[in-house]
Amino acid sequence: MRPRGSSDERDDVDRLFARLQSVAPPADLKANILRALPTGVPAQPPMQAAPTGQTGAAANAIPWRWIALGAGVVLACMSLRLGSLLDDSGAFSVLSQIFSDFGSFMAAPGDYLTPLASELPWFDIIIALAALVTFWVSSSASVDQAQGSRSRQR
Amino acid sequence: MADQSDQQLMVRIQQGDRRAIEYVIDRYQRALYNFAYRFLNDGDAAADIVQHTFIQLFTHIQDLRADEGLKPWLFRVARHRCLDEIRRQRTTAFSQLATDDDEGGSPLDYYADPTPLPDDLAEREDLQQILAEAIASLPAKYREVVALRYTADLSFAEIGAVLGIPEATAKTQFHRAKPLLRAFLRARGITQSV
Repeated sequence: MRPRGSSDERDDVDRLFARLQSVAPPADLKANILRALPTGVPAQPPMQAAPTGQTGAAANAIPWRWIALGAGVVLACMSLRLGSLLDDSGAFSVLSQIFSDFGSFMAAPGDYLTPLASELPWFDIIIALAALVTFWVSSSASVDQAQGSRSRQR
Repeated sequence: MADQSDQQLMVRIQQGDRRAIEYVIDRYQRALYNFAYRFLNDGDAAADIVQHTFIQLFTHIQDLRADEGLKPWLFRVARHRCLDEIRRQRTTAFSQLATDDDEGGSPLDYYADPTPLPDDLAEREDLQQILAEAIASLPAKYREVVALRYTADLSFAEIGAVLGIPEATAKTQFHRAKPLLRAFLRARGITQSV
């Protein structure tokens, strides 16, 4: 087996080991390998030879990265909408009263919380919270997926 | 199919084309076997490692990136199995198992010999055995680089990809191994008098 490079780059050790003969594997090695292979196709759907580098694992697993991106966009939109709704509804003014006169709030919290609860856009708040949770879960899963793919190369 | 690229064969393997994996076996089994054989100096262990490597290929083909070379992946898997085998055997013939680049060098460097060997080397009957023993005498860190270079004919870039080290580090380790090989061969009688 000749090492790479021109003959001028080869030194005495390279020239000597160029004489090292290749050893033939056992005659039945290939047959043993084929016999030991699991039957059927590999578990995952076919990997496309995509030049973009999309891996077979990434193509077949849940696309956590895209879910995180979508959840982030929804979260950003809902944040803007919530801010606008809270301002228009007067909930911000109730909240500012609570923080400016916390003693009164503690003395009679119902007087503040009842109007606040009626003013809050609960549906939008639920959507925003759902988007937040989805973003957090999917971004964590995306990181775990990327780390798991690298570790499986061992 | 024999003239198809590795990537084309990888796609076919995942589609369940067993003929494609036969072609991959034909293409790489000898080089893998020689690498494992020279690394472990054990034919039976080398055959087991080659078998395991190709089974890993078939069962984990989906984990290979489209831009990742099949050849470095195969040798990487084989190399890990070789290291596992060494640890299992708990041999004391090797000075270290660490894969980190040891800037401090090995104690064997003290016995390194930079004097070139003779070019007009007469053919010796035991030359093959001596060359194999020379590789086997190296610390594991150098032995894997030398085995990949001399038995599998990998470039330094490919060796770096297999070992997970920069190409320059692979070259450094290879060149550090050469004086050790030279000293071993000289000690075995590969001298001017031969």
